[in-house]
Order: sequence, then structure tokens, then C-alpha cells
Amino acid sequence: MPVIEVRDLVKHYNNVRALQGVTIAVEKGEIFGLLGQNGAGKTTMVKILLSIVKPTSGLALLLDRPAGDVRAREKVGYLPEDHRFPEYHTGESALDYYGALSGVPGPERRKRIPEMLKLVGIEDAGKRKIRTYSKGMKQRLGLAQAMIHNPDVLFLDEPTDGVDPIGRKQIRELLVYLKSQGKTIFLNSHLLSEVEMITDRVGILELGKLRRLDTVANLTVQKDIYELKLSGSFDALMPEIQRRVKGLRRIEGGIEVDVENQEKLNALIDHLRANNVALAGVTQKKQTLEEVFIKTVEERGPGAAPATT
Amino acid sequence: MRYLAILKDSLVQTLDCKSLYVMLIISGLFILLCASISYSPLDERGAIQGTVESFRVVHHVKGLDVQTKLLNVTLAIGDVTKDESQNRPSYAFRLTVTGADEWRKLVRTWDAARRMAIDKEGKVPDIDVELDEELEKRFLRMRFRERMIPEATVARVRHDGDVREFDVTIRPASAGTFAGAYRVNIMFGAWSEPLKSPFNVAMFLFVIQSFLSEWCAGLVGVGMALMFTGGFVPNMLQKGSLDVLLARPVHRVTFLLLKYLGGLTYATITSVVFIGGSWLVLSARSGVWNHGYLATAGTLIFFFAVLYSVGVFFAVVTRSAIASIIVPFIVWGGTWVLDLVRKILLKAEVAMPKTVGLLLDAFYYALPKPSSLNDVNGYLMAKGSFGAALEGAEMQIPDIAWAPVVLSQVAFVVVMLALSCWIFSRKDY
Repeated sequence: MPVIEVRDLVKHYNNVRALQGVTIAVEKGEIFGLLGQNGAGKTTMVKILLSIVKPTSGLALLLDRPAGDVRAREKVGYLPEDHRFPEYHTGESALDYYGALSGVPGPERRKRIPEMLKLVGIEDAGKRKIRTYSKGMKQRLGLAQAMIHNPDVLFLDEPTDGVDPIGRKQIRELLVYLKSQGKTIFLNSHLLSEVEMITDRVGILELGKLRRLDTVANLTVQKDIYELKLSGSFDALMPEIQRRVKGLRRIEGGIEVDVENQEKLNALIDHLRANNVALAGVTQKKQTLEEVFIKTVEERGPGAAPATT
Repeated sequence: MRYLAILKDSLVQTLDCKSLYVMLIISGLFILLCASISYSPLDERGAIQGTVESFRVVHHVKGLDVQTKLLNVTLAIGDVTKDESQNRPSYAFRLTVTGADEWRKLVRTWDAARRMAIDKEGKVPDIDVELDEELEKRFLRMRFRERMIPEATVARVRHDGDVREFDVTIRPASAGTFAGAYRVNIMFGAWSEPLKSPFNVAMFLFVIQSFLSEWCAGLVGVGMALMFTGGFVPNMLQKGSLDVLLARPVHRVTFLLLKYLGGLTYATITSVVFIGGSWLVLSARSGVWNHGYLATAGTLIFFFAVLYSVGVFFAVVTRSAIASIIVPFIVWGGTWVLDLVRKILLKAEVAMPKTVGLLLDAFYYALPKPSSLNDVNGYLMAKGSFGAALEGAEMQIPDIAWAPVVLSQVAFVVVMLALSCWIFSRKDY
């Protein structure tokens, strides 16, 4: 049973159609990445699930409860983009406040606060006012407040924003650790390389519509493009190879070919071997998630404005 | 637990404001100034002389106000003989009154005032009619009673042109000092002055407490509290800050109402410290425990609550701290003027179209009433200071219309908060 589910979700802001019938289901223990340009509707979708924004129509369920149900938010943590924590708090008192709001009893809060601060790497700054924190420290505190009540589901909007490369790596490791603990993580991010590294599935939103939804492996695979590592001289065979494939490119130690199907690939390999060219390896070519994303967006046109009614 | 957390957060926010400490320090200085005031009783003859001099002042009620008149008559006592043969001492002396015309006006005005016979123009009936002895004696007996001297025997011994003489024997309610004649020492004695008629200690305190309650706390204090708390709700509603809160399992209405209570916490702390502290030291130093002044702390918090609800409403609508701070001041000023205009028109009984009267009434009852709340404060303090003395003299401080003033403003707060909650619970952030 999905822990996050939206069906035919529609949201209009005056004449702007922020979401146009989005359907997504995220299973327990999954890291799900939602990608999209600015204004694609990613944050709107999360806000609907957390009842910060009301949907125009459609269904939004969180832990099997309607998104507006207060109890649905008891086991949910949220790190918004551009968050701003009350600067009159210290790191510790802020976590105490958010923990209490989430229903964590006092003794447990006292135990969890140092644990959380240590987990996100700001244990030495717990007693300092937030107004003295750097952007990266605030981001880490944001993660801590999202986890203070040990939620089952985490919504993280740009969790590595403002964090240095080492910190980003630590956050990635933390998310993988949380997944291993059975937590479900819903990630909005522009850093596609990071999303690619840790997410199980990815959805690509564009102008309020879900354009792609699949596992990272399936999204990045390039059908019928292969890299062939060859040993021996094959220069003389290039014209014949060119005739047999749709596309041909020389790469270091071999060739990259675009074939119509696997039979054509096998025929090409047979031909090479028949001409004393040994095959050291065959790899199906993959593309990066960034390439997939850009290709998806460019089908419509980059930087297109959100749809209007 | 969640509710306490939000209240605690407001408290942390309040304590983080340097402004709170500034207000507490200012309050502390005022309290210190109040603590520097002390009173030393004059000798018995001086006390009796001060008491009879205070008779030259007469009060009468005109609308919601108490009018005061000081008549230019001389009241002087001769030698005082003290008799201590009974459990409470009595004092015998001759009282000489000089200035027959002013004396007549004084007694006639006092008599008409207690019979509520003074008309709206302030005209006193029979003011030119010669006094009879019984009225003169009654005047003196009753004025002594007002000064906590329940027993007074008066005999007119001379009635000669401009001068009258009375043989008077009085027995105060207690064996202690007279209430009407003290020396006041301010700044721990750096400045010292006898309290002259018409002031006694209670009256002197009334003036100080009125100033502290209406001007220091009611105007400056409430104004500062509105400025310093005006940002509380807009801060909560800031993008990024609000998202973190709304993702918690707490109803939006709860957040808003408890943030409102957080603002009230600020006003409560400062009011209680200022009014409570000054009440304590003023009372301890004077021996006059005017509970009415203490009660004005509640009125001030209530008044702040009324205006703060306006700030909260505009914070929810605009998310702007500037609007949340400025609009309550505009409402305050506007309604004060409206309240005053209505009061003046009512007093003057100006003939105006019925619709205008209805509109004035509608606005009056629908909006905050700063001026009327000042009246409530004045009433509370007067009742606290002089209630016992006036009741002893069979006089009453005129009651004011509590219910319309208080209930209509409670309704105003409820409406403002209900609208704020309704908008807040429906709005997308």
C-alpha cells in the first residue's frame, strides 16, 4: 500500500494551472525524486500533501489518510525550500519546540535533540542562537527538525541547498541510512546527479503535468545503443560497419553503435569476429538523469511559462 | 503539550526582544520613583486645619465627569482642646469662616450637588438665598464624615456680617492621625511639600495613579507593546517559517490563537510589573491600598487585547509587520476621536438627524472605545480611593455603563479573531 498517493491532482492559482491531473504513488521505504523546472509544480504538490495548500480537485493521501487530516502529519517530517527558523531560538530550543509540536514527549525530546544535532553535524552549535548560523548550518538544522519526531515519511525540498560538497555527501549517506531504516523519502531537488545517486524512482513534472515516472535505471537506459570494446585492427571494416548500423562513432578502444535491434547487433558482432576482430566487451549505453531531464523538458521547450487557464 | 509549546515559543520570542527589557527597566525606574514618595503626618492642629480647608472644595457630577469647584472662603481654626477621656479622643475648637458670599455659594453648591439638583448649565438653585443655621451645621457635619470623622457636634456662636463662628467638637473614626494633612516627600526627601487642601493622601495617590495608568501605561505602554508585538504574527506567517509549522500536526487556528495569546503575554508581563509594582510601593508607602488602581492592569491588558486583535487580523490578511503595527494605531486614534465626538454631542444634546445619531451609535458599539475605557479606569481608581469615604458620607460615585463598553469590545475581539482564523484556515501559503 502506498504511503504517499496523489490521483488526478489539480491545483489552479487564479489563472495559473500549477498541477494538471498528476498521479503518483510512493511505496514505503522508497526514495522518490520529483524533478522539474522552477514553477513545474513540485513544491505545490508537496504543500498539498501537507495541507499547506488546498487542492482544486483530485485526491491526495498521506499514510492512508486524506492530506488535510491533522493526524496524517503526525508521522511526517518536512524540510521546505527557503526555510526560515525563528532566530530567537537556539538550535536546541528550536528542536525542542518543533519536537513538542509534533507530539514528542519531553524526556524523549531531551534524548533525541543531541542525537539529531550530532546526526546532522552541528552538535557544537546547539546552544547558539540560530541567527549566528551559516546557511549550511541552518540547512542541517532543517534536516534535524524534520527528523526530530522520528517520522515515517520525509519530504525534503532541496535538502542540500547551501551545503558544501562534503556536507552534501553526508546528507546523501544520511538519506540512504534512513531508507535502510524503512523511512520513505520524497525528494525535490535540482541537483540531478545527487537524485540519480540515491533515488529509487523519479518523476519528472513539467508545467504541472507528470511527463516521466520510472526507476532511475529504466529512465537512463538508452535502447539499442551499445559500446563495443574491440582488439585488433578494424579500420578497414568501418565502411561495412557503417552500412550495417544506424549510427556509428569511434570511441577509445572501440566503437559506439546505434542498431535497429539485437539481431542486427549480433550480426555485426559475427561479422567483426569473422574478420579477426576480437570482442573485449559489450555495454548497453546509458544516459545521465540530467540528459533525460533536459530531453524531457526540451520536448516542450526550456523555460516555458506555467500553463494558464 | 503542543499548546504549551506554542505559548512557550511566544515567551521565548518575548524574552528575546530587547524591547521587553527596555520596558521593564523603564517600569523599574518609575517604580523606584514611586517608592521614593513618602508621607509624614502633620500635628493634630495642622491636620484639623488641613481638613477644614479641604471643605472649600466641592464636587458635583456632570454627565460622566466630576466637576470640581474651589470657593474663595477662609476657614480657620483656633486653639484645639483634646479630650482623651474616652477610647477615641475628641477635639474641640472654634471654626471661623470669613467670606459670607463664598460661604453661602459653597454650602448651597454642596447641598445641590448631593441632591443632584444642579442643572446641565451648572446652575445651582437658591444660590443667592441666605443660609439657615441647620444647613450650615449639616454641611460641616457631613464634610467631616467624608473625612472619616463620623462624629461632629457643631454650634453656631456668631453670625455677624462677613464672619461666622462655630464651636466644633469632633471625634475621628480612629485614634490615628487625620487623613487629610500630610507632608509629601519625593525622591527620598529631596523635595518636600505639605499636601495642601483639597488634597489628602488618597487624592494625591489618585492623581499619581491616574497619570501612571492613563498616560504612562495606557498611552505609552500600550503603544510600545503594540509596536513590539506587531511583528509576532507576521513573523510566524513568513514564507519558510510558516511551512515548517503548518506541516506539524496542529490546527492552524490553534497556532493563530496561541500566537495572539503570546502577544498578550507580553502586555501582561509589562502591565503587571508596571501597575503591580507601582501599586505595591505606592500603597506600602502611603498606607492607602487602592485596589482600583491594581484593577486597571486588567483594563489595560483588555484594551491591548482589543487593539492587538486588529493587528492580528491585518497580519493574516497582508502578512506585513508594518500593516500589523500601523493599523491598530490608526484604529486607536480614529475611534478615540469618534468616541470623543459622540460624547461631546451627547453631552451638548446637539440636535442631529436620527440617521447620524444611529450611525454614531453603530460605530461606537462596533468599534474599540479607548476613551470609554479611560472612563472605566477612572471609575475603578476613584472607587478604590474614595469609595469608602463617599459611602460613609452617604454619597455614591456615579456608576458608568460597564456592560456596553466591555461586552461590545469583547464582541469586537471575538469577531476580529474569528475572521482572522477563518481566513488563515482557508488560505494557501
